[in-house]
Amino acid sequence: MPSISTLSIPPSIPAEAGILSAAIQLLAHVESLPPAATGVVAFGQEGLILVEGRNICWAVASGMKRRLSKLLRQQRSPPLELGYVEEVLRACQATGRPLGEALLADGQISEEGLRAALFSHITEAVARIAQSGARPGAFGPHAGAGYDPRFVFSTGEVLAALGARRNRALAAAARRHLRSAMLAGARGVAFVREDIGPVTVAVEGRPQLKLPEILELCAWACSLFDVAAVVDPGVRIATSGSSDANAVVAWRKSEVHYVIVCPNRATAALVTARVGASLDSGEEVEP
Amino acid sequence: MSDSQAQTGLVSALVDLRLGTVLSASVGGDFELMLEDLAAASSELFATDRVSWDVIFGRLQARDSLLGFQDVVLVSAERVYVLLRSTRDPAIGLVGISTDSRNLGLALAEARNRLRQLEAER
Repeated sequence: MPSISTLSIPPSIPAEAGILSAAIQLLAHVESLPPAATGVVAFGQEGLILVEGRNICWAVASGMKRRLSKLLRQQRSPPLELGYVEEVLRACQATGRPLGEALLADGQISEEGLRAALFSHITEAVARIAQSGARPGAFGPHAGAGYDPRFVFSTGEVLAALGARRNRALAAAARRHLRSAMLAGARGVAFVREDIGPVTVAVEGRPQLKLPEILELCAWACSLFDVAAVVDPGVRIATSGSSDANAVVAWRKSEVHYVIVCPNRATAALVTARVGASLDSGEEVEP
Repeated sequence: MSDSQAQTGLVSALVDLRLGTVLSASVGGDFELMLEDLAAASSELFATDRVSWDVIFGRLQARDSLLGFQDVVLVSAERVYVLLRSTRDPAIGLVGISTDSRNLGLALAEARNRLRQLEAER
C-alpha cells in the first residue's frame, strides 16, 4: 500500500495578484503566436510551454520533477502502484513515449483522468513560470506530428484555473451556475471583480473562449454594469445583440459576474429566460 | 395611453448619446419622472466622463471582437431599460423604459419601431 508521503503533491502556487498579472502576459504571448504555429516557447531555465494553434499542449517549470507521475497515480482509486508507474516511466524514458499515453494505452487511467492530470500540471507550470518573472525566448517551431487534440488546453481554460485558485469554493459554485445557463453553441465566462480587475474563475462551451475574448467580455460587462448601477442599482441582467453578429447575455449573482456569448438572438433569449428564472427562484435551472 | 405605451408599457425618448440629453419623447406621468431620472443619470455619467456609449454598445474596436451591438437591454426585477443606437446617426439613440419584464423581445421590437418613428419625425 502506498504511503501518504509518496502520494503527496507539492502545494500549488496560490494565484496572487502578481502571478495572475504575469500569467496573463504569458498567455497573451501564446495568443500572439501565428495561428498555425506548433512548437516550444522557452523561458530560460525556468520552464517551457509547448504550443499548437495558440493552445497549450504541455508545460513544465523548474522544481516540478515527478509531479505529473504523482498526478497520474491519483487518477485512480486506489492510486496506481508506485512500482508500476515507475516501471512504465522507465520504459517511456527509453522510447520517448509520453507517460500518460502509455498509461492510457494500458487502460490504467481514463482519457478524462489523463486530461485532468495534464491540465493540473500545465496550470501549475504556468503559475510557476509566471511567478519566476522569466521572459519568453524566441519561438522554436516543431515540424513533427501535431499534438493529440484531446489533450490540448486553451489559454482561457488555464486563466480560469489560475483565477479559481483564489477561492476554489466560489469558483466551483460559479462553474455550476454558468453551466446551468448554457445552451448549444453558447460559450461563457464567470469572473469576480477584484481590486486588481476582473478575475476569471470559470469558462464553459466549445470552442473555448480565448484570453483576448475573455478580457474583452469582462471589460465590457464591468462597464455596462457600472452604467446600469447609476441608472438603476437593481439591474441584474443585460442582453445585447445585433443583426449580423453574436448576441451576448451578462448577469450577476452575488459577487460573481457571468457573460455568455450566443450564436444568435434566439439562443440569447432562451439563456436570458433561464437566468431570470434562476435568479427569481434562487435555484439552478436544470440543463 | 400613447402609442409608445401600447403593448408592454414601454415609454421611450430619443437621446443625444454625446450629451445625454433628451431630444424628443412622448411620455407622461410617472414615466416622465423615470426618463428625467435616466437623463439626469446620463448627464452625470457624461459629466464625469465615466463611460462612453461606444463601450456600452461593445464597440471596443478589437480585431475579431465578439462585441459590437445595436441594442442593449437591461433588466431589473421591476423595470426593463432598452438602449438602441440609431443606424442613421450613431450619435443618436433611443432609451426606453418598461415596467413589464416578462417579454423582453416585445419590448425590444417596440423600441425599434419607436426609434424609426422618432427619427422620421425629426
